[in-house]
Amino acid sequence: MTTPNSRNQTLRSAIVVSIALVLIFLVVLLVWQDSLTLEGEARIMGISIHITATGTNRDKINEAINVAFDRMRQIDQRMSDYREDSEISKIKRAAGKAPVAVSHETFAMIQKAIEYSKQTDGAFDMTVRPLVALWRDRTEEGKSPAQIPPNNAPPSEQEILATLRLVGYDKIVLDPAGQTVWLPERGMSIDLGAIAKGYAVDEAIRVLRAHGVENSLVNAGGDLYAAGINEDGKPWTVLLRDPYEKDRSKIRVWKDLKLHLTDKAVTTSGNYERYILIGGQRFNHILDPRTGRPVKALDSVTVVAGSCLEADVLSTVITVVGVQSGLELLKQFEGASFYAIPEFQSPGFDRHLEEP
Amino acid sequence: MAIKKLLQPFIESYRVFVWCSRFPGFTRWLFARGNRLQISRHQVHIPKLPPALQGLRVLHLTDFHAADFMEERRLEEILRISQSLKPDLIALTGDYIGYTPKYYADRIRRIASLKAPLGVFAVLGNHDRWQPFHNRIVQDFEAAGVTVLQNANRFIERSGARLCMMGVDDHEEGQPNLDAAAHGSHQAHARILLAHNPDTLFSLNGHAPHLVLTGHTHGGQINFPVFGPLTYFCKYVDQTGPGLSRSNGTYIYNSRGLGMSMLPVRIRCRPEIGLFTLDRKAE
Repeated sequence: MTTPNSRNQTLRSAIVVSIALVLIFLVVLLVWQDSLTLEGEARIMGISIHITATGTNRDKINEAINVAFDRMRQIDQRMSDYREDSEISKIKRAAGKAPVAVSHETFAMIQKAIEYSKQTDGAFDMTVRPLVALWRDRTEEGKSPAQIPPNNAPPSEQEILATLRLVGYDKIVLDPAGQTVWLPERGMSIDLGAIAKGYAVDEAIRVLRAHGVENSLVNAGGDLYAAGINEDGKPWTVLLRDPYEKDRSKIRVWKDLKLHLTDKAVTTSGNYERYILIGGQRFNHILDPRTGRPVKALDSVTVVAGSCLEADVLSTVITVVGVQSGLELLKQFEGASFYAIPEFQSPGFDRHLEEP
Repeated sequence: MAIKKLLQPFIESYRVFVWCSRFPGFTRWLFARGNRLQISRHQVHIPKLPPALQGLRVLHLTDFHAADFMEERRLEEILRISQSLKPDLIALTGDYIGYTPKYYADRIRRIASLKAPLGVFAVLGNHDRWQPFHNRIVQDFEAAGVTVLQNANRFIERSGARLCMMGVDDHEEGQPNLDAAAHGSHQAHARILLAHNPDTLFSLNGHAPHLVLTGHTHGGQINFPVFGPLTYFCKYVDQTGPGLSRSNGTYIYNSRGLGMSMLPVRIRCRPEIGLFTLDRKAE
């Protein structure tokens, strides 16, 4: 037999349990998994490439990431300067001999690179390779003392002038009808390394979008594009590390920088990661194609732009031409800004540093 | 005594709430999860779209309810992401302020700071109309360069191609007149209609915009699995559902909006920024 007291007790428990259930239901709804973030990694172009993508369908995101990697591999196959079977290598091997028929994509890319060269008065030049080879042959980095000649010194004036004869974007002969590229001098070369990586990142983003993945981050060894927003609904956060982290002899002018990006690309050119060491002296790995010498002006240039290809060109060129000419150049690239070391910030760069 | 006993379970439940409030970080996180922003991108296929309008990007923002449950920082974030998307044109479809007219001038100033090469166009929502000073919203918007379309339209020319932006007054609190809003619009190559409340579309009267951008419903704001939202406060969306729908070649979009109304919570109904790209329809 139930007493009124125990009936009350039962009612009370029932109400508490009901309210607890409603609360649990609400919590479950609130933490409902309505989107997910997946990551993919692949080794392409000799570097590790990371893709982070968000969406609602695991299989679709995975498929999109795989197709994006395949697209990057295809670009590498066509434009790599390290692969023997790439179209660029074929053009180099045929230098001074015969024109080479290439894919429509490679042809268009070379045309685009020539446009950039004209736009930057030759500060960007894809034919700079013979000069790079001249300087890199002398580097002592990674060589045993036995491999270094006794009087190792930077290239002489005559050597540089002789090599400059093989350099110049205006020497490339293009035939749009036959889609052929011809380097008329033996020893000439084409190097799309400075922009092919950026182009591949842009293409990966295009592929991801075509597969319905609108929010993603593609990072190809520091050349990256942040599309849309992250899973938290915020702009993607990109950390740029302090270039002097490992070199305490330099004054630290730049702590790690946090950029907040939506539909923006960022790339960095600098000598803090790669350099040429000759006679104990450190030279920037970026050469001025017009003088044939490494640039001394800027240690590092970080560019934020609307596409990774543009950012690649700008960071390379601003390192060569310096801050003032860089500012002039920015006028031709809408929405682009840069941060240079020694410390300089172009108008608009601080916008990407603000905490959202 | 009996009443106290009856109230006892509610008092105990209240204690549970009090105990939960000892962890404000967790509570905030829980509610913030439902309020994570999304960008919804859509292609709008228009027959015979001139090349000058091909790829035109229209950004759609609606139902800010700024100052109700939207912090200043959040509003700034939305505006910043919107500008980063580099739209050619921005469409605002109402409810800029909510029940609280607090901070009104500041919030309107911030929203009106949006910029796009082909302009920023707005209509008012029912919450804006409720305010006794709604004419000031129009004045402040206009002074900042935002075109407010109250049963009116504007033509935009781009390399000989004409785009018509039409705006209609709020269905509940205003005096909507679609005929006035669409007057002469048939001369345009592309027509976009802004309406706060989708119920306006019941009286579309044969006007055939290519794209209609609407708000008001917040997508239901609280969207239960299986049952869906309690209400959309809108008969039209009861029939079509929120998001993108098609009717006689017209793309109609009902956005989930950006802010919250009545309750500071969104469940399975994340706030969104809409980005529409005009695309020539294959013949």
